Amino acid sequence: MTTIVEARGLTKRYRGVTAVDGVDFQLARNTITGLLGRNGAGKTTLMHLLTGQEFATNGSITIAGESPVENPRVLQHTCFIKESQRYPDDFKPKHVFAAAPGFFPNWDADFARELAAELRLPVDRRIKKLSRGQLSSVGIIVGLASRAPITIFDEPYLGLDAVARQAFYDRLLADYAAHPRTIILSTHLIDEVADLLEHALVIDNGRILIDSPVDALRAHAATIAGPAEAVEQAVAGLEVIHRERLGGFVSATVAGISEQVTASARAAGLEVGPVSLQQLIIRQTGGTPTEHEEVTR
Amino acid sequence: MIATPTAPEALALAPRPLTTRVGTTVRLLFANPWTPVFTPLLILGIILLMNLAIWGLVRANIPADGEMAEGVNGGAFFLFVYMLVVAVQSINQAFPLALGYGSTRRDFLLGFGVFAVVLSVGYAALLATAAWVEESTGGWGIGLQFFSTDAIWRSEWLEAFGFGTLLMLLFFGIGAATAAVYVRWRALGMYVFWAGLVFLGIGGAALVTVLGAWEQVGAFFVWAGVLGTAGWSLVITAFCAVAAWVILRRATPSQG
Repeated sequence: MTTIVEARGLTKRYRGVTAVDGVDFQLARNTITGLLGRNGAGKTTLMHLLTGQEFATNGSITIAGESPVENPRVLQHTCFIKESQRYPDDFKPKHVFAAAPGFFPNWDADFARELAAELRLPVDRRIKKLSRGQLSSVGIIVGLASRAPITIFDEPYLGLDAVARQAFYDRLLADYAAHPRTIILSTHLIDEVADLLEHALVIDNGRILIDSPVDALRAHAATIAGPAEAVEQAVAGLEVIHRERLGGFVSATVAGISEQVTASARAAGLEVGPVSLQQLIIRQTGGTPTEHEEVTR
Repeated sequence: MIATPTAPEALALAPRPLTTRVGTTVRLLFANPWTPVFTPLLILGIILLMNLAIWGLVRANIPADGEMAEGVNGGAFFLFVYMLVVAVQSINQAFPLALGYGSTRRDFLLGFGVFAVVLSVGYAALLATAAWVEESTGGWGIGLQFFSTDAIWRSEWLEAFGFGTLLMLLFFGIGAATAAVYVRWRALGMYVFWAGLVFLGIGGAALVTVLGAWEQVGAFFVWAGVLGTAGWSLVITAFCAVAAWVILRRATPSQG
């Protein structure tokens, strides 16, 4: 694994608020990392620090070993697509696409055209007059067609319908396979992107809660359900991150589960099921599902 | 378009040349050429035609040997205010976009500088040439003064061009510095900025009055002349440019 991004003791404080709090992590080159967490967890601040738009209060973040702040050597390889991106009032999508090749040497104009057609983006309409979803499409097209070695999407799908979101995920995966690059995807829709992600970075209150390959996360968690007594026996000594009771039945979500435990639970007639990445993260960040399932507006 | 069948093995850390990076900003600012070029030219053309038509009508209704004042009109000078607005919008709206696309603040501002100089030189040349044509044709044949309103526009082409360029640059500079304050400190910055400006203006006037120095102030402008005064405006323009740079160098997307 080649490390491309590294944060060490990274801290960002605003008047009295610590948005990012002594964070350490590394990202491997040419992987898709999910930056997951609740609103206000520090995701956007982290991405701003990564692209040199914010200045760290303490600690450091580097791309290929160099600070990104005012550093064209590394910034020329980045593309940051944010949900709240503003465009000049007089711009149409075609103007954005015309200016993009200057910023992104790998820009693929044909690909951008293809994506615009697929996402049904009116490229000749004023951006101010685009719907929320169409505005998101502009960002998605730039992010994909830029083929920037470090591409960062911050909640890029607001207002997009399910079909368009799926098109984005499919295109992202296909293009990533053809042109490997480092992709950071910040999102609320964890289950939708779960199959895309290779690595999960879960941030809450400015701290990293989970920094793990997605496969490992999934492999080590399960729900064990059945009669209360039998379940409690099976999970004794394990880390139960969530328990739900319904009469005499219990469903326990367990982290750090081994095959042995699974086998013996099954033998005891208990139901052992997988945990979705979203459920797992919700449990670990101590939130309630409704807050996390708040989807697109 | 460069096709990359596979990603490069490591990040190529050699930066692209400064000219390429600055050119990228210029390209972004000119991406929609209507705003900085075509729209103002179109407006200028329409105003000129309307003025010619109206002044032509007025002329036609006056006997050929009648007494006739020259029609003086400053319609062309909306261009300066228009470019101030272009400067404000460029900094306010294109700056965050360029940062997201991997530009540095420095490369963006240098690109904006090129953009401002190109437009200033271009419009000044246009205005100076139009004034010269107006002079040579006796006000388009009907005594209309649309471009050559002041003595400076009726002087040598080069002087008019120099004056126009300096004035245009001043408007770009003021626009850029004001927008930089907004980008960095948002509404609060605007309050402080305008309050400070009013304070400075009133304070300055009061100081001159107390010192009884209005005569000297007047004498300065007489001494400097129109072109000289425009030359001195370079000090303000340079101050604005430096201020914009210092302010934007630490601007972040979440400030304000």
